[in-house]
Amino acid sequence: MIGLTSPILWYTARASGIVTLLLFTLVMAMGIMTATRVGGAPLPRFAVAELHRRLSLIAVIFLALHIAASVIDTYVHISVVAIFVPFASAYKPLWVALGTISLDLILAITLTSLFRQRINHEAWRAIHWLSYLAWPIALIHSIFIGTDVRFGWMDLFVAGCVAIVVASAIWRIWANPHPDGALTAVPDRTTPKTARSAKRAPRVPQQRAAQTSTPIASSSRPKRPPQ
Amino acid sequence: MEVRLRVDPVACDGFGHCAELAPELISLDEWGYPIILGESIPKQFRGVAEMAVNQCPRKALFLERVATPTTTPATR
Amino acid sequence: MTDLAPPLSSQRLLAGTDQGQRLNYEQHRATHGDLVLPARKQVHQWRTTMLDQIATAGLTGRGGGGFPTARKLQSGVNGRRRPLMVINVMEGEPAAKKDSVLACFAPHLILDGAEVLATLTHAVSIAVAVARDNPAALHSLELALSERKAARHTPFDVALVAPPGRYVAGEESALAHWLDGARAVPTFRATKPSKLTIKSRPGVIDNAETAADLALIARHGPEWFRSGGLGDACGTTLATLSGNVEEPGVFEVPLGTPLRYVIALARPQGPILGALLGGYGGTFVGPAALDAPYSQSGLRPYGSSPGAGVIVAFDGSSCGVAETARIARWMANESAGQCGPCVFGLPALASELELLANGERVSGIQERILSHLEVINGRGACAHPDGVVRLVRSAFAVFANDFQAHAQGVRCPRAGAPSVLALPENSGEIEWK
Repeated sequence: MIGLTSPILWYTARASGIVTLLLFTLVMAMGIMTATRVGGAPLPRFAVAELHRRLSLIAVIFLALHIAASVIDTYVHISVVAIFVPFASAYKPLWVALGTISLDLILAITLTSLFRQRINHEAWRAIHWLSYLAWPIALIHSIFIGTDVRFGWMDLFVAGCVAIVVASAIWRIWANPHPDGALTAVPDRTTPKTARSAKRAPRVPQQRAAQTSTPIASSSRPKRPPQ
Repeated sequence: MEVRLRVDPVACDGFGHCAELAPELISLDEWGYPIILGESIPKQFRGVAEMAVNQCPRKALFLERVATPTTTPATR
Repeated sequence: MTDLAPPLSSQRLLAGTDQGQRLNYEQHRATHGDLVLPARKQVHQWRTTMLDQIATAGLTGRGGGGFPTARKLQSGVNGRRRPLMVINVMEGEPAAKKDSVLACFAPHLILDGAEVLATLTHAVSIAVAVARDNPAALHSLELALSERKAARHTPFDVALVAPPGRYVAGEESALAHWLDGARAVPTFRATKPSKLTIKSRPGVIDNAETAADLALIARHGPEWFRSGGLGDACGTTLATLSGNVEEPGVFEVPLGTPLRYVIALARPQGPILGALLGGYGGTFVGPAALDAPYSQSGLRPYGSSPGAGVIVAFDGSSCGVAETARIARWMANESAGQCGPCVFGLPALASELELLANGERVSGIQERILSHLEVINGRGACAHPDGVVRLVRSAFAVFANDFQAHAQGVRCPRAGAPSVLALPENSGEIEWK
């Protein structure tokens, strides 16, 4: 194989990797905002969902660029097989493997979402939840594979990404009730745009109905009708 | 041939995207759940209806094709 | 047909049980005669004849829907795969006890009826569903099955199953869902009437009393069955009487009997002013309806129907507004929790009715209630919220003066009067599976 290497490839691989991480961080945040029904006057809810979808496609493009640059560059030995199969890389097998696993998950999520109308909804949802696995794996891949970790700004950047996703996730679970069963909550009765829904369980608190005074006789002896 | 918008109330989780995309066809009750306005979808809104159906995050919205009743009142 | 003389009195379903005893298999056969099911070669002919007879008999579903049984079975019969026959003894309605009475005292009628239904629909097997929290009925049916086994009478596979005792678990799609291994919650059916599927077979679900009626029609024929009713009404029916009565209980009455006389069976405590008919998703009726024949056609002009045979008689000692509010709250707490308009609409409705019942003067409360009724109706997957809407609308009509007075903040003379309704603990944390 002809050696093909150049600083341009190397910088492209690193830069596109960082941009990909940033984009997927934003995609995670937008996904959480979609689930929590954020949206209203300047940006309707469907637009939040649409942004989430389009941003994820842009992220995938940058991911493709990142992978291409990394594999084409012969300065480090990462085979084409290693793109899809974890631990097949000669270069930093563990950290590349994390990237590979993350890619496999992202591929599953992206493909099922592109064909969302045609596949079973529960299956789509189950695979979509894997994003909560894909993102941290990608993050760890970024931190440990990079030769840029010695730079302080990289620390700041990673911290920023973590902050965005963790804050969004915490908000989703604790502060913002949603219908996936995390909380049974009192519905917001202001306007339809901000009303949220909490379902899957009967509404709490249940008020006890007034006690009865005349229970039905337990003997229930049948009687003869008047002749 | 009439086309009607229907919602599966069990699947629906009150996201409200449908009412944003097709306000002529769907409005929301005070708790954020869709109320389908009218019976059949007027022809000019069929594209909008299809978009709303595709965008529903829970695939709760669907289109139903109903044969237009042809009997006259006298024969009913 | 049997050569045993059929009982002429209106004690038909409950024949032989008036001393309060349970009929075992021998006693059942002595009272009603033997049920003769067709030999294999005659089955096809028998089915056609039987469906005709059921249509002639005018039997309608006794589970609350009141749908003509022959028509329902006709659509169940025309399938390619053999169905699963399900007998619904769930009786989630708190004010109804008739199915439990049948199960406890005349279980063999239910089982005979199941055999008739299974033969009619060419069912592959039978499931008898009794609520888990009804041990008396479960025990009696279990015993009945072992009695039949000892007598070597087992033409069909019969499984006694016990779904959770929740109100909506007895709804037919919820029952089918549970039998399929899922939670006992109603499912959304895009087109109604739609066929139920249980373990990839068609499911035919019939009420216990309907089955018992079929057991008798198969023996004595449609004319005999019709003769049990007064006038145009067909057959007898079981009614569960409660409310302001001395002797609440289950009574077998000829359909078409004036409502007043049906209520009289339970010895009212005082002059009866009205009643709640059908169940907690049924309708209130006022004094004018007391002279109406107790039947679908007799009650229709009053916007009511026998439903599941529930009759709660009112003598006016309790407050109609408060009773309506209690039912609304109880029903709200029984929601399956699947559909927004039910999960949020019913509690909102209940809260507003409670405000009204407490005499709190909130301006526009009646309008808010009416608009909520409009918004909730028909927007759930099942008929649970629709039943509450129907009930509240009938309450507005029957207790019009009381609602008006409450809205104006007039102090209610019956404030604090005890309820006449049977309102057990809500299902709450009971599991769905």
